[in-house]
Amino acid sequence: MPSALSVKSLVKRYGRNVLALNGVSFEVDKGDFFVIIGPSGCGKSTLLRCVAGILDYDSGDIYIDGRNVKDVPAHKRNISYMPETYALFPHMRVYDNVAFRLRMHNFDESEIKKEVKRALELVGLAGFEERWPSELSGGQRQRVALARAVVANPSLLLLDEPLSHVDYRLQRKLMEDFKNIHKNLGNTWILTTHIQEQGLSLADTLMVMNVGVIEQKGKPHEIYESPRTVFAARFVGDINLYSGQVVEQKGEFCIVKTNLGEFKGIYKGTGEIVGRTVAYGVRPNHILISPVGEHRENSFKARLISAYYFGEFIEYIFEVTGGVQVKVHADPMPVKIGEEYAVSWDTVRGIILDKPSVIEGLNIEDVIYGR
Amino acid sequence: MTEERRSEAEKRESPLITFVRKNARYFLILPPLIVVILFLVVPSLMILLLSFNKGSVTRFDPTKISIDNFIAVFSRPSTYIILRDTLGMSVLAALVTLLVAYPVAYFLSFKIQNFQLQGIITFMLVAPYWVDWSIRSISWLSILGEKGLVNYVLMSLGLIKQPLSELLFTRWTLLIIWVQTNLLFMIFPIYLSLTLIDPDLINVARTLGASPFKAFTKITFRLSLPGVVIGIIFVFISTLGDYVTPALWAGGLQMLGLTVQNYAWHFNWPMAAAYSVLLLAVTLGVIWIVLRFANIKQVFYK
Amino acid sequence: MKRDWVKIVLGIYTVFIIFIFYLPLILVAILSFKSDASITFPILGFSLYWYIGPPGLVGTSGFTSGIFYDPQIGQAIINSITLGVITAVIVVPLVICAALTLRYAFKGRDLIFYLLLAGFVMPAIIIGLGANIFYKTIGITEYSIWTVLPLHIVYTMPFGLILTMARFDPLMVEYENVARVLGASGWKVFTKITFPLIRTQVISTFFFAFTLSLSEFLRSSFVIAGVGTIPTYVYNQMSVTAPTPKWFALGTLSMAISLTLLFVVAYILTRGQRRII
Repeated sequence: MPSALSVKSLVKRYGRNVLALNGVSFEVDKGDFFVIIGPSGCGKSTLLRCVAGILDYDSGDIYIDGRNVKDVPAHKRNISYMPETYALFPHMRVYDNVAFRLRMHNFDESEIKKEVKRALELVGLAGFEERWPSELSGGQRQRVALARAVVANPSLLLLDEPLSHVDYRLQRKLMEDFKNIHKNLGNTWILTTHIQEQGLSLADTLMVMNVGVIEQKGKPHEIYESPRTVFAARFVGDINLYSGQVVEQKGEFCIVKTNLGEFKGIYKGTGEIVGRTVAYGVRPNHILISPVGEHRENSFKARLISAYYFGEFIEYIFEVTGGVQVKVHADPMPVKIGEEYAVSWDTVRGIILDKPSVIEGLNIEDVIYGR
Repeated sequence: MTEERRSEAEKRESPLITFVRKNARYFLILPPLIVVILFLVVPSLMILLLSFNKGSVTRFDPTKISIDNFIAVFSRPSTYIILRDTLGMSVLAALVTLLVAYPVAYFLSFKIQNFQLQGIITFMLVAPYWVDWSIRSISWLSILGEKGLVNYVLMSLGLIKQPLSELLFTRWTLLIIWVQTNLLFMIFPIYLSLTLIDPDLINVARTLGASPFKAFTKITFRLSLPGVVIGIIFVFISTLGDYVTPALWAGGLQMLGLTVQNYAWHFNWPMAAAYSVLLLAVTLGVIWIVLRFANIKQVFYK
Repeated sequence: MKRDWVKIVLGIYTVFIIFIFYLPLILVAILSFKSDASITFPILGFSLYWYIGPPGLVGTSGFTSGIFYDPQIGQAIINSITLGVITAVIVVPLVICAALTLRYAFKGRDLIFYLLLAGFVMPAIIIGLGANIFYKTIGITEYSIWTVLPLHIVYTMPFGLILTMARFDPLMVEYENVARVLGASGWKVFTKITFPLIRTQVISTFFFAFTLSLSEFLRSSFVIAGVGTIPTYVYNQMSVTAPTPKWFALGTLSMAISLTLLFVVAYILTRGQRRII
């Protein structure tokens, strides 16, 4: 069975200097909820627009449902596209906006009426047919745009940053709705975002992009637990990263010497990395806080300098002399700001990465410290 | 969607159609472009070429190229007097028109919120232009002439004994007529520019401590400059090359446009062409200078 | 409620300007009803002669008549209106083509933009003389409104272009993209999405093109023959005969017609609370 979308070596240049897509290749399974995350400017919008057929590219192939759509114009591709701005036609009511695709394919009016009603009910906007876009709130506009995109059940749905301009609470609700509608319709969805929590919670398959290339693609928990590059580690889930040198390598286990001390961790790569500069990372929620003096593996002393309330956890920021910081996510603890504590973690939680990014020629320390 | 509908929608198209379709948007520029090239660029080129001939020819003769015309133009002192007069009056006309037009444009765009009223007032300003220019002009005879309205009223009221004869056929008549003729074309671009201003910009300026006057000078006026510039350019274009109005109404003034027309009338087209080139150069020069004050392009596209 | 002094002052000023604007025209209207042949004061009597008077000897201008009986004026009016309508009808699609294409960035876009605007910038004499030479060169010797038409098109197009482009919805291309993905082919995108969004600008363009064409005479006079358009005809007549209230009658009539038309159109167009200009 052919995949819903197959992209091979897609290259897109803007002008002479900007390489938006640098030979991107990947596949999307049918029925998947596929999320592409990456920082602004990484090319995810460009990718989506090429797939939609509204942007020309320089080389490569795109296969939708197994067919090469190189010479197939946008209006014949049988997919849906929702841009970041929603682009609801301002001169049409909600009904006509949602009915647009059906009208373009010459459905008759009685069928159209039924389908529009169904689509609006699906997004929770039953009865909104006669409204004008200018009368709607941001969230409502989004739902209309969604209804317009899903009506007549296209095989592939492309959504560009749909949740980026929506407030937090609405985001959670909308994410739930997206998943429900997706399950209901059974088609393939591709969604882009730069907010990593959305990526983690929504995706069946997650793909991390970075300036025109794919850093990593896989199940969310795979990328979270086994990132393959420093970039992927930083972008998916919070992480504390430090540069260090590998002192010893025994199978999966390595010892890395950093400014904060020697730590043990897991290296899932294939290279011989003894002596190399690597990134040593540990996620904030895997770190334990304990009084100074208790001996544990992988620990060092640090001073608590601030605490932020996040509702479900507290973010504690510790600092070591020299300005290096450690972020810890934990339940509320009886700690005092200004006091010294020991932070520690299990060896299996230590992530060792030798590749800064899929992009060649980057200095690993630059990527670690986000320069 | 049913399978039949789907496969019909997904039929391939031939490569030729694909090429045309992908680039059709650019081909669309051809019709207007062709019209402009044929009826603007080509005639202008012909004038330019003709200026390099001498005598009473009306078609360009490539065998008789000479720059005598230009030498004549630039060596005559009268040329410079003409330039001075023409430019002087045009600049004055532009400034006066701007001063008269701006408050109207501002009033229309900022102070009238009802679009219908805006439309009506706009149309009221446009309606007089449908009365032919010549008729509008001679109406000034009826106002400013010796037996015109002004004199009639003043004499009936006993304020003057003799009719004022200096009201007509002077520079000032020219100025008034020019302002009247061009007023709409100054009001309109300024109005357009003003309506494009995001009112939040002014609001923020006020919260940052700007008085209404300062907000106007530093924000509103600056942002309306593209419209002002377009209006000024229009006035210049219309006045620099005008040969009719000065002839009818300003008697002794020698104007650039008039000079061209004079030569054309006397069948010395090459000389007319030479002066035309000068006129064009002056026009373009003025436009270039004025365009420095505002970035016009950004109003229309990024 | 605080009084908006600026609004009041500016309002009075605007009314004043409109009054000054209309003063000559009001005068024209009044004077058109004069019973004698001069256009100056004092007014000795009123009559409708200049409108509907049959040919006869009145005043010192020799043979003259009211506009109703003047076949040449009739012809000139027809010419002007025809020319104006055709110009507007041709300019509108040209402006749409240009405005829509200029949205996209491409090599030479700036140059083409300035070139299209140049029709406004070129002094009338240059265009007029140049067109005259051009026509001679390609063998056209007979002048009519058709020889004037292209000049009017080139002259009015920039205005429409500025008008249309200045009011583009910045999201227009995005709407078109979405429509295309939803299944609309090129033409459908234009009719259902693009055109409705620029409809008011198109109407304004038509309107301004017609207006500008009606009053254009500097360029036209170089390539016209016979009776010509109203401006060229009136100008020619006035250069050879003394002005009489007849011209005022013509002016009053055209003003009455245009004001009525305008009010009607303006009322219709602005019934929805959307801008017309």
